[in-house]
Amino acid sequence: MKVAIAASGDSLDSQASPVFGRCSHLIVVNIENGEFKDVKAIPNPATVEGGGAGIKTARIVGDEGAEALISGSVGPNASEVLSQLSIKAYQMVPGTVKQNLTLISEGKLEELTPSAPRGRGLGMGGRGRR
Amino acid sequence: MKIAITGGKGGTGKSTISTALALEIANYKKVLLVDVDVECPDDHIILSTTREKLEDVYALLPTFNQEKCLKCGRCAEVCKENAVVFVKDRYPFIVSGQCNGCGACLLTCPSGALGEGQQVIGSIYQGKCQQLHEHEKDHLLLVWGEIEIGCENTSLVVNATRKYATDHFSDYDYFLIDTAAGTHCNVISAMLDADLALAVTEPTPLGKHDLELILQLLDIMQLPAQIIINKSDIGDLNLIGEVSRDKNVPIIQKIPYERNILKKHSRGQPVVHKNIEELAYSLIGMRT
Repeated sequence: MKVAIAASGDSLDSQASPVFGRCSHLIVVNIENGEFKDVKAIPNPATVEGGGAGIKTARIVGDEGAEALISGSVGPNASEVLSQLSIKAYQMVPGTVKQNLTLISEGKLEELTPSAPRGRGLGMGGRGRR
Repeated sequence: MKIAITGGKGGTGKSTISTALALEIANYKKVLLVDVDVECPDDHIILSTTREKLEDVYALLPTFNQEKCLKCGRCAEVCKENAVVFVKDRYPFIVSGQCNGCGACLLTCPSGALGEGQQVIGSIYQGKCQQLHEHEKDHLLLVWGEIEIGCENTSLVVNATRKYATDHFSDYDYFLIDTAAGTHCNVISAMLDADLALAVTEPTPLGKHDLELILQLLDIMQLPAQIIINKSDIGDLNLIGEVSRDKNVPIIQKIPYERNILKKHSRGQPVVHKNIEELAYSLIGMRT
């Protein structure tokens, strides 16, 4: 199973990220029989987006062909994109990337529900008056 | 004649003065009050008007024809809002709430797979003031815009509301345009075809600061400006006096901080005050 996880750094020992759209890295791993193969750390280009960061990050998860995502939260727009791409989101537990990957491989992570009411982009990108 | 009521700072009394002034002028002339504070239009509450929808305001929303789509992803590349999502080998799709209707994706699509759809981003309403006598009701009409909650395209709704008012109510003698706070694009849009702007402020450091900003904007827009000081007997009048002198913009009226005004305000009722009556006279060129 190919899994992407929002992380605060670029290794398996980095902390899992509580935020999705503006997490510093996405780490993509192929989990086979409990082993982590093809570990890939992708610096998240969406951290500097003015708006729509969650959408862009979700798109990268899709580009990588991941079937599941682990994150602390997923905003409404990103959630819409993930569901369009048939990617399931799971709730991370505070700890390292490796700990979370182990938990998901054992089927011990819960599915994630959108963190904010569905609407017009309520993410961290700042919805200032324009 | 179109008079914009603005001021920069929020809470200085733009809506309070707009509604009170509209009622005073309506004693003599036909007044259309246009509330284009589309994120929180409140004049209809103060005037306790009826609420009739005139029309919806639409923005462009692209549609995707998968039969023509080459899956090249250019539509997503050009989307500055990240509203168009493209994943390799899949058909692109749009997160409609994120789309600002700019149309760049339509222009860039090489195969004509994108079409011009639309989404509702707000609505325009009109309301008649219920308390007025029958013969006065025709003298005052409120028109206002309301934007869908969370939508960013405020200026589109402001412009649509202003245009609707101009196109349908040209027989009114005076347009009073109640703007939002700030100096951003929806305030600019509100004042685009105004003849005069009244900057409502208060004699506080914040009032002074934001007044300077709005006067700079009005200067850029080459729109004649006049200052109204609300809550004039509290704070420090010199603060506003300095701005008036520096910018050479006259202070045309002061409205005191009085219990009667606050009572009406807290009940959501229009304010009646002799200084607003005087202001109305001066604006329509009558002697007191």
